[in-house]
Amino acid sequence: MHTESHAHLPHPTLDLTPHLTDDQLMEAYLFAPDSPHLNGCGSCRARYDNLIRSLEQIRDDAVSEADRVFTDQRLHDQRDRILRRLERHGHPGEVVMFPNRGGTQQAAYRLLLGPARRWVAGAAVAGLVAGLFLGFAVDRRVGSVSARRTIKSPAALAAVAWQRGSIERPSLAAIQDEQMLIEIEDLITGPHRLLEMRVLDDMTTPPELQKQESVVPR
Amino acid sequence: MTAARAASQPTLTPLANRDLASPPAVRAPEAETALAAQVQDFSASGDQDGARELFSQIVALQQRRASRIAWHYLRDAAEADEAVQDAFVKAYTHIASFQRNLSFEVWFTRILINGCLDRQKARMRRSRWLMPVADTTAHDQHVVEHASRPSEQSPEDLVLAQEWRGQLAAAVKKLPGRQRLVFLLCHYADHSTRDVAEITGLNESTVRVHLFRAIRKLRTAMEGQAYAH
Repeated sequence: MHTESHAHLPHPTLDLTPHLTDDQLMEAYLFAPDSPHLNGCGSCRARYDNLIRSLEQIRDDAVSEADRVFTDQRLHDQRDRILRRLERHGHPGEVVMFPNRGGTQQAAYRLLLGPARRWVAGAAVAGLVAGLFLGFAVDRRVGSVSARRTIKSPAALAAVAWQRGSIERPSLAAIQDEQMLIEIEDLITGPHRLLEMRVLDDMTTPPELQKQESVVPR
Repeated sequence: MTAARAASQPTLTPLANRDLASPPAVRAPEAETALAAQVQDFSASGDQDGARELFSQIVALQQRRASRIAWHYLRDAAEADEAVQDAFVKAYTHIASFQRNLSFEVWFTRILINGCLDRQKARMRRSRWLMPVADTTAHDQHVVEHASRPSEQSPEDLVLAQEWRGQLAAAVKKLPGRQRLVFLLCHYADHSTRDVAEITGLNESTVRVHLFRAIRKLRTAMEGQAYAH
C-alpha cells in the first residue's frame, strides 16, 4: 500500500490534480467506485485495486480459516443434531409411570387404595414406633458412656497432673501454645464458625491474595 | 502478496457494486425464502414431517455461512456450533412469525447474531466472576493452524501467516461493537450493506460509515504487517 506522502505526489504525465488519499480511496470503494478521477489516474487506480485486493485477501483468509474449523464432517454432524432437535420439538416429552412393572395406572391405585392399604398403614406405624424406641435407647446408652468418658482439654488435664505433682510445671511458651490451640478449637466449633474463620483467614491470607479475594462476591 | 495470487483474482468487486456483482450460483437467498414459505405452509397444515424435510434443505443451504459468522463472532468452535444449532431451531419453532415479503436469510441472520451476542454477554459475565476452566480457543487455533496445511509453505511462511492472522483477529476484536458486527457481516459473510442495514436495523448510510471506520482502523492496525500466505 502506498504511503500518504507518496499518494500526494503529482503524476509527471498527467494534470496537477492531487491524488486521492487513502480515506478517499476507501470512500470510493464503499460509496462511489466509478469516480472520474479513478478512471483517469493510473496511479490512483493501481492503489485502489491494491486496496480492494488486500481487503479480499482478508476476506478469503477469514473464510478459509472458518472452513478449516467447520469441516464437511462437522457440518454434517451439526445438521444431524439440528434435525434431531427439531424432531424432539415435534414430540414433547411423555410422563413415564413410576413404578412401571407392566402394571397400569389403575393397578398402582389398587395397590395403594385397595384392601392392602390397612396392612401398609399398619406396617408404617409399627416401623415408626420401633424407630422411636430404638432412637431413645441408643441415645441413653451413648449419653451414659459419654458421661463416663468426659473428654477434658489438654490444658485442663495438664493442670490436674501438675497439681497432683505427677508432672513438672509447664513452661510459659508451652502454655501459650496450648492456649492458642484451644482458642482455634473454640473458633472452629463455635456458633459463629464462618464469620470467625473468615477473621482467621484475613489474619493468615497474604496481602496479594487479599487483593484478589476483595473482588470476589461473598 | 504474491504475483500468482494477484493473477488469480482478475476481477475486483467494489462493495458498492456487490449487489449487482454477486453471482446467483453462489448465493440464492430467494430460494431459501421460497422454501421457508413452504415450511410455513406445511407447519400450518400440521404436516410436521414435511415441514422438517423442507427445513433440512434450508439448513443445508445456510449452515456453512452461519457457521462462518458464528465462528468469527465467538472464536470458539463448540460455542459457534451451538449458536448455529440454536438459531436454526429457533427459526423453525418461530417459522409462523416469518414474513414472506422479507428475505429468510436476513431474518435468520438476525436470529443468529442475537444468539451470538447473548453468548458473548454470558461469556463476559463468566469471565468476570469465574476462572477459566479450559482454553478451547487455543485448541481451535491449533486446529486452524494444523488442518489442511498446504505442504509447499515453508516454516517461516507458516509462522508469518500465523502471526498475521492473530494480529488481524486481535484488531477485529478490538473494534467497537457495531463496527465489528458490520465488518464481519459485510466482509466475512459477504452481505451487501443493504442486507446488513436490514439485519442490524441501522440506516444503510450508517452501515457504510461504520464499515469505513472499521476498515480504516484495521488498516492502521495492520500497517507494516507483511501478509504471508
